[in-house]
Amino acid sequence: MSELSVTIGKSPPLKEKAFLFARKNMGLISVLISILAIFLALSIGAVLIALAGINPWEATSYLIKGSFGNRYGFGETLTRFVPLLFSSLSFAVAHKSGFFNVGAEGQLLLGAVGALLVGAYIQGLHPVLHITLSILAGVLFGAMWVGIAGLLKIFLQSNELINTMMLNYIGVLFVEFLIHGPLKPADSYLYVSSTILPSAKLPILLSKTPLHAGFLISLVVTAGVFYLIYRTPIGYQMRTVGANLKAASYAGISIAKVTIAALFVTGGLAGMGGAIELLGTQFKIINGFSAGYGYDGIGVAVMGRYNPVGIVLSALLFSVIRVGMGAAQRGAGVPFPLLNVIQGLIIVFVIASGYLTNKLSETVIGGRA
Amino acid sequence: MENSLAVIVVTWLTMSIRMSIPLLFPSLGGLLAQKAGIYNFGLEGMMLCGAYFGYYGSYRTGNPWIGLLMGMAAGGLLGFILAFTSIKLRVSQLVIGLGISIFALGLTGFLFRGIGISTTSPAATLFQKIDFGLLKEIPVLGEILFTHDWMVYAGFALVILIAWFFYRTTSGLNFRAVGENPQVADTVGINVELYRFLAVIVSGVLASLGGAFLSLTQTAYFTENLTAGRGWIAISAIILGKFNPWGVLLACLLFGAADAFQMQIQVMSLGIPYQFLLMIPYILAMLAMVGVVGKVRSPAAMGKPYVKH
Repeated sequence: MSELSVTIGKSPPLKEKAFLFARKNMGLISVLISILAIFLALSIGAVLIALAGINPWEATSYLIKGSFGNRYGFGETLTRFVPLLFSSLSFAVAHKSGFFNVGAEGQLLLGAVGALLVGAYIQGLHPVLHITLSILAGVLFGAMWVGIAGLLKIFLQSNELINTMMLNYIGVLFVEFLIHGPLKPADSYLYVSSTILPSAKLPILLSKTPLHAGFLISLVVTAGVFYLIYRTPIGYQMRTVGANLKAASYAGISIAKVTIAALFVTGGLAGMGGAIELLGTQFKIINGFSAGYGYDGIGVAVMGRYNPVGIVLSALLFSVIRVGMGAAQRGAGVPFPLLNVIQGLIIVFVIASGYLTNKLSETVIGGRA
Repeated sequence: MENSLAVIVVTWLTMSIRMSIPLLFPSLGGLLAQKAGIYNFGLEGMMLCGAYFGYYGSYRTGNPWIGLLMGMAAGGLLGFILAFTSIKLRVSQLVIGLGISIFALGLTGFLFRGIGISTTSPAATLFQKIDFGLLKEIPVLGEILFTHDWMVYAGFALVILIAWFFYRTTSGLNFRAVGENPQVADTVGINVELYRFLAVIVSGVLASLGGAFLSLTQTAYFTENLTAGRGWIAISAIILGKFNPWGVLLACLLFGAADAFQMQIQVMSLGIPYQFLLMIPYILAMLAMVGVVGKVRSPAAMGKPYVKH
């Protein structure tokens, strides 16, 4: 940016032209800066791969081929996209309502437990009913889990970030306990839960791939969530509470009531993500059921700037990287934790680029874009 | 029977002190940052880097001091990133701290697997224990107080140092002013940004010491997610300790005692599922914050970026 102002400073007509161009295309420029940030993060990832003694070009080609270069990879990418989308929606809704929910990981797991209880143990239901009830159970369990942190915040002003984080660790241990005992089939020697009944399984959308109907549900729910946030009175109240607590309270909004509604949505979304992951992809709960979707969702929401299109696109990018990294691990031996490195870098760079964009629009327009 | 109970209690107290240290370092680090008005939610990631680079340096050179220095450098670097993004770029301290923690989890996991050594992970050289000679022979107290690594005593010394700094020096007063009311601090000529930068960088270094304590005095190994959320529990300890170094010390001793308790119960194999025992520190961290509600006031300007007018 400083470079820009230096060149501009020398010839005023060019400066005006550049300003005019920038003013017209602020949206485009901010998208370009974001893409540049992502590219920068990926480049550092490539350097790390090279440092590990692996050819980065080879790794990249595995990444691309594995994530959308063939039918199966394409289906897998869209499948992994689903839990990422749910956990990022969960984070985004909470964020808009002024509640910092970093507990999607735990809520997702508990949601899967709820769905398993209905999906594996209630027999003789019509598939549509069985699936619906299982998902609802997941929503309920997810909301219940965040509810612990929520009630502590509403009634005792306890820090929700720490509490939701602690509930992640507790949730992982609790589910580990469940699959070591109560949810383990009596005749099994493995630490794995019972499997859901066929009537609770989500149908496959694209044959010869894992892509299931949960993908469509996730898109519908995304639209529904943003309708709720931007087009309904309760959504308006949630955003007001999130933006300015004092103003909301002066306006006569019941903070506790709105926060409870937001909690239900944020926990419910994460729980639904876990339920759909269970009913569509994994069918049973094992150790490491979630694979960090809850934490990735935070990055997705931040990168998508908390807006619907941004979140869908970022979730897609994250799932391409996740599936592609899996392929690069199998093909080129790239250590899988590099995934978190790249995602962490993307978050940092995108946040920094957001600052750059704001600064630029301040200079050009004289106000925030 | 009485004898064995005494042995158990002495062992428990000894372990309590030891297990409080990996919380004490990051808590004091977090306290420094918060006193200057910056949330450090990257503590967990900084600890992990301290643990990994401490391990790596010691394993490579056979000298734990080099490992410790590498760990501190990594922690300081993450501290600088947090400082730069939250002070200069004024991005959300919560999000960037979380981003640092997620990034460090991936980085240390990646590097650890990337070392590419055979199936057995190699041990790092640990710090030698201090030999207190006769002091160790004092009944009961000897074992509880004089059988630890130097880092344990360094942790306690740091509490004294920080308490002295905050409440007995001019710089300490300036420091607190920066966190309470940066406008006023700026008006009287205190360099707000400089204080905040230093606070957050030192905070990162201290957090890394907590992680290095684990790998360089306890495990001699690194595993993915070695710190297991201690960086988050440390934040709870700061709140329970009412933003006071002595309070933080007591809080860390309490959490250390809980950790030692669950470890001992596990060894006794009383038939309680181990998952419930492992939950104890996390549940305690939640309860601790509830216990002090309404009685604690955090630094007034905490979490707010300072814009000079």
